[in-house]
Amino acid sequence: FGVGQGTNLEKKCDVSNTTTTLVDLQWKLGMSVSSDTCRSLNSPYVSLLLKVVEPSGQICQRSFEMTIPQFQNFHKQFKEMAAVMETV
Amino acid sequence: MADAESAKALSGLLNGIAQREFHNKVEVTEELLNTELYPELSRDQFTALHDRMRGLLKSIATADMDHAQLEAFLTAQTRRGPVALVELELGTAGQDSQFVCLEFDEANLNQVLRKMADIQGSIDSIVQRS
Repeated sequence: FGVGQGTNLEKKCDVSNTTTTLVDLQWKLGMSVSSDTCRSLNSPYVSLLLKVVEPSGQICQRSFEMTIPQFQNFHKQFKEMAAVMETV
Repeated sequence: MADAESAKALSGLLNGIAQREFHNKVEVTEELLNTELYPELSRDQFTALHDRMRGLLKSIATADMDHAQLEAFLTAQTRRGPVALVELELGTAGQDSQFVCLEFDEANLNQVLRKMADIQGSIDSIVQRS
């Protein structure tokens, strides 16, 4: 269906190439104030923490960040998915 | 009638597993649960059921799930409806991307959409302020 992109911050276990189910989604909206490459960023970003359960029952956490345009694209794709699901 | 009976047996099984795993009641053996609750099942059949239920209980306890999480988790165990498959590509500069595949049924999807609407609302309020 869709591919979202983000920066991987943290993982507790390897769930590569495994179909898993989302159990919880936590988020925060952050602001990058400054960095070594840019003194005055004032750039908002979305940070997501997904709690997922593997087919085996093991619970894993994945966290990643997205820029606002990335998040909006992500959101749009989920809305499209929901629209398609309604027709099934 | 049959549903009430099987619910009662399952409830007994979950309680028995919880007693042994979390309260150290070692006398509640797998054999005891088999003969008392599921006498019609062979040892192998019962072991499959027992291990699955034990796995579920342990996952739930380990994750310290609240009601909403529990509902999502248990629904996923019994899912029958159409599902959406999402592949996330997560990457860090200088490293290979990792792929996470997630399944969503309609209920999961709606939950996620509600959260995303909250995020968008938060973004909008920042934009308004600046």
